[in-house]
Amino acid sequence: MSEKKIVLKSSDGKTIDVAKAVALQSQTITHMVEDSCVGNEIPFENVTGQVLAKVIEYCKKHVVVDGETLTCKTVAHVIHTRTIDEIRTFFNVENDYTPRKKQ
Amino acid sequence: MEQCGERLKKHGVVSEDRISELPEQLILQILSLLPTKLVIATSVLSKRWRSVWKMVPILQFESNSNIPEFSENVCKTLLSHKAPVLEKLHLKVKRCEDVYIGIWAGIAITRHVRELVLDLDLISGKPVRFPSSLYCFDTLETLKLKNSVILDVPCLVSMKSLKTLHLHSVVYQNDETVRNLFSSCPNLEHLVLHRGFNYNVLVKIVIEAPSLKTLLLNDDYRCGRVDGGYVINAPSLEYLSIERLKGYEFCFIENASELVEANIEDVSHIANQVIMGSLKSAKRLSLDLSPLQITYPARTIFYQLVCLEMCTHKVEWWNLLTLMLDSSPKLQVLKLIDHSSDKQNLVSNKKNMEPGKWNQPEDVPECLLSHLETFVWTRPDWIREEEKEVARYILSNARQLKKATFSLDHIESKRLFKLAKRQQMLNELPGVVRASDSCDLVFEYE
Repeated sequence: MSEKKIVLKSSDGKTIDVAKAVALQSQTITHMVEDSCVGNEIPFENVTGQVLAKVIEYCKKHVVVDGETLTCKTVAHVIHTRTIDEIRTFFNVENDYTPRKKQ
Repeated sequence: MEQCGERLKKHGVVSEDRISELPEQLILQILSLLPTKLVIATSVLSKRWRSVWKMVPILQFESNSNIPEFSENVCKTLLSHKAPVLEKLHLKVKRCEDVYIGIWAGIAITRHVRELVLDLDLISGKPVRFPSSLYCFDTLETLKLKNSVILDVPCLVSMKSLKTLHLHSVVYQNDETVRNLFSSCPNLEHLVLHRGFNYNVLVKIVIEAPSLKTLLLNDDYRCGRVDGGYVINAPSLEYLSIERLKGYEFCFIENASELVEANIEDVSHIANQVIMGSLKSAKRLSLDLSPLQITYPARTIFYQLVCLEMCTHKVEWWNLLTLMLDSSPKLQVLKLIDHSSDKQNLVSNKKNMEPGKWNQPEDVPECLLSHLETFVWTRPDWIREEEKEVARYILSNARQLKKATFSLDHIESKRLFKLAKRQQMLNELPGVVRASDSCDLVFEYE
């Protein structure tokens, strides 16, 4: 399963490869992608490589659920402390297995 | 149907699934934090989740006492696993036979695992032999072995991708094993050796590692040997920590010219050691030692030392401070800290000493004249005269001092003597004539 990747380019010429879906967790990156998409490479003229790397690191450790940003750890904790049914309820996951398949 | 009703009640519309459509990479990141048993269980959430577990790059298993059943689960999972790279396999197992380790690790190799963690959690029972086939596992990057694993490396092998190695309470077959092991990992950068208890006694540990950057040694070997020891030859070493090393014949650290930071804690009763002398390139040092227990070679100068932290619960620590001040011409930051209140089992052995005088420096040390800018003392114990003298001396001789902070812990109201001694100093210190005009004196309460 390969995800679409994009390339972010910092003001000091550094490039970072990242899965598009992950990068789009950041509002800033989303705006930039919408405004200036030259092929697959997005330039960030005001952001250094170091800062850009930290932003991507942040994106990789946080998810946006219902407009709220949570750490992956928090979501993992939710899953860890609940039964399957409770997880379904909490995240609104629809159980589309037919009864036979569930076994 | 009940669920559906609730959702409609809450939002007025059917709510969206909040988790299944997150980016795959993030879902895998979340699942990597969970034990594999739970991760596999997510496959019943919905059809979309059926095979997600197979792509999680980290697998972690913990056994109960039924090893054959556990092994079947581990093997089945490993063989169904589809992620392109198995980042980490973590196995926490109670007693098991050698052969199982071989099987699990063998499959892990075919999956190109990058990090293998084997935590045997064995207190009693026969130690398990680490399969020799794994010593030629040249794509493994991180290996962590804990408890009663026997390492037997009779000749040089190839572990050329190994960068990180943690050995915690493992059993070494002989001296040669240790030498061969380290010589077989030329790219080793991070080593953690925790000696713990042992089944057979190893005499000499030689670590020759040209690429090693960080080394953490925790010996904690309570048998009280008086022979054998460590020889460390790591020319690229940047960070060194030695804790609880006691009762050896020698500890040599050769050529640590790239050393940036070191932490030496609880080292004593070693007949031949030049540990202090080997640290002379360090920029930052943290010492928890008594000068009575460690040899301090004369004429060692810490030319690059900028930050020194010393623990203040050991006997005559103040005399070690003198030695350090005299030998650290460029010192800018000095921190003194008493850990005996937050580490429960730490006994402050200075309490039993007869009161004495502090061997203060003969001439005012260079660092106090020209470099020391920051002085922090956390939990000073001003019952002892020597410690009061230290405080007065620093304030009245440090010409470049910008800030002196005394951080005070809570003293119970019944400890009248201690409270009185503290109050004496709190009254006295602000009046001490400071060598630095622009020095801020700060008292903080924890």
